[in-house]
Amino acid sequence: MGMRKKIMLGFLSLALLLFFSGMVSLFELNRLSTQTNNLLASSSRNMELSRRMLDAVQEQNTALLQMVVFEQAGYDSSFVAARRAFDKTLAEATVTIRDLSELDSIYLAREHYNEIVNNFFDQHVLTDVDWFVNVYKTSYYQLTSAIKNYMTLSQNSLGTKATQLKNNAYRAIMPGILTLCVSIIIVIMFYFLLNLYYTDPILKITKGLQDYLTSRIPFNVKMEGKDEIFKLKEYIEKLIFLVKSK
Amino acid sequence: MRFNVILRYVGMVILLNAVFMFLSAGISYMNHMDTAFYPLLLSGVLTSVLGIFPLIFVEKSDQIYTKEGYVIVTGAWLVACLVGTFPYLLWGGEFDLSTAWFESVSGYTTTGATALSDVEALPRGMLFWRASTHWLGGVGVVMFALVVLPTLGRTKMTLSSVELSVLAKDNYKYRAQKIVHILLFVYVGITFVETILLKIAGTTWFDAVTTSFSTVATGGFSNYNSSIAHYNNIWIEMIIIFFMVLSGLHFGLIYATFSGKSNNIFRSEVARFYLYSILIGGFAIAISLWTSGTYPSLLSSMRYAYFQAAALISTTGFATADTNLWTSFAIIVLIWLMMQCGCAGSTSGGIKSDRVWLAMKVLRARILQQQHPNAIIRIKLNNVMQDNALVNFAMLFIVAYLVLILVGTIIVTAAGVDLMTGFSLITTCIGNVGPGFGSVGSMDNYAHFSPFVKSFSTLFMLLGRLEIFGLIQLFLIKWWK
Repeated sequence: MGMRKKIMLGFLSLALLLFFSGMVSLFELNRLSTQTNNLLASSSRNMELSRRMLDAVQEQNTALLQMVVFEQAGYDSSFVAARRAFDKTLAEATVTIRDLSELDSIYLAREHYNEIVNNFFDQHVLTDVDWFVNVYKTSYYQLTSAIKNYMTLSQNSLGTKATQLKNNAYRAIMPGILTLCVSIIIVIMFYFLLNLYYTDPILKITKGLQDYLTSRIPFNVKMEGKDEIFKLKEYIEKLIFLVKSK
Repeated sequence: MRFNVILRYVGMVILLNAVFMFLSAGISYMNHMDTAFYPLLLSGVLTSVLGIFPLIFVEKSDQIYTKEGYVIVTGAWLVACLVGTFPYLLWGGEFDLSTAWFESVSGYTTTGATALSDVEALPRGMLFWRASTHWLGGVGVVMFALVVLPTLGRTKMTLSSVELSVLAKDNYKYRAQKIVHILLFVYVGITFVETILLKIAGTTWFDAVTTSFSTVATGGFSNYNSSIAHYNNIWIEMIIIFFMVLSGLHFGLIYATFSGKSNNIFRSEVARFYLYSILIGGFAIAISLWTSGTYPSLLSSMRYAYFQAAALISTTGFATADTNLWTSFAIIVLIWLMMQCGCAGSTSGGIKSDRVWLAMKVLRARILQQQHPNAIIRIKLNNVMQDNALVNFAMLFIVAYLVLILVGTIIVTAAGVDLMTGFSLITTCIGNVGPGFGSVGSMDNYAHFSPFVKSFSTLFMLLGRLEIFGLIQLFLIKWWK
């Protein structure tokens, strides 16, 4: 292999290293950015869904309160609308959330809550305040605390996801660090090999020629390999021989 | 010392590692492109560039001097361990710098100790890479690379004389070039047969290949936290016992035995000593476990005792039981076995059965000499008169080995490790065994140690793998002149 090819391959190796690690780092950084966006989006979505569910339950509670305590039957339709809003939000959460087990306690509490309220509507009797305070309220608190727990769970899972993001950030920077280390080793090797195969022989030839021209010391440079520098040395020897023979 | 020549050959060894990194990336790709794919691919590229670079400039050399041979071998081990950390570091997870270095050195030196608390969390590509480091390290990175080296004759002999211990070299009755081919033939053959048998016994193809890689290299990395106990299958255990014992034997003798030559396993004094050690040691442990009530029957005691005896003497280090719960007698027998280890010329580490057998003969000769002061007593091994220099070197090796264990134990206990753990940690690391006792027991790992203890352990793994003096010489500045 010629001198030009060898040096070009040396530089190409370095370029390839930098290109490849750049590509991997870019890919990892892109993934990191997508994951961060997803994490933030899912967190804010969970908060929003929880808030809407709480609002809907609150509205149901107000409507029932009007019916039971103040005996205003007209609140029937607002209760139904609030319940529909709650069910819709819960269905939306079911579709968007990956781990459905997080919603289990809400489903359970809702079933219990609906059962009690349905009983109330089925009987068509306006129950007394005791029922509202002792039976209904217990179920209401269970449902709201299940929604709040879900909200807390979403917040707590942020810690785990943040650790995952930290690991991904590590993965994103590590290719760069390793490539830098390998590049430094290659640069050192490149320097050593360039010196050994090109710089040192040129210096030897120069010194040999200088000694020959100034002090007539015979040009006797020892060299390995069969590249252009070796040929240069051979041509110089031939030239000296030609000059001597004239 | 021609550094350019050293760079060329070390580069070739690095390239071999790159091939296995790409292979592991392929495994990762086949497993739905698991998280190990990009780390393995990038590692492969980095390692390839590092390996190819010297080959661009340095022409092949037909002559390698002994000192250069030493530097190539030890340098190749160290550089292979270094590039072996790339996939781990890039993958992340439990791997920090010290853990990645520990895992890599443990793989290449075929120690098989892990610094991971949950091996099962690793993706398949990474598990395959771990097993590959064993396989590459088992045959000796350099020894293996010799096959692809285009140079012939003296070059090979100079390198192999460094890689194989003096005793092992003496046992090979073949030409230098053939040694490499025999070694590879036996190595690949054992791997292939064991893979097939393990698959038949009920493992998956993936487990069969990786377990075979670990067994033939006498490594010990497993794909499961509970090692071979995970399978709870007596057939799998019996197959592994057979191949662990086989891999602890001299590869030249295995070849001779299976090719019907006269200098076979059964005629070798050392091989007989090694096999009797397993038989007697295993039986003694089984009796102790049975009488102490550790296991309900003699048969179940024998099942676990023979597995652990074979695992420790061959320096594989697989486990089917928690040996920390065994009797003191069983533990001390196991410690003896993990010091004696397999035969020279195999992939096992430790003092080696050859040297222990030779030491017994020297002891006997010394007693005879005292009884008959004028007698001329020669020490023979396999009916061959042993050179005094060789005998002295073997004795010196044993002394150096024991002194290093003592020094190592003092240092790790100073670092806060308890005596039993410290002693067994150093013994197991220098012997390239893997599990020890205390908090490094057969069902434990090295994850809880400080980065210093982990790094210090790797030094002993390298010392053991390079037969102590191989590594020490590299650091003697005077030797370089």
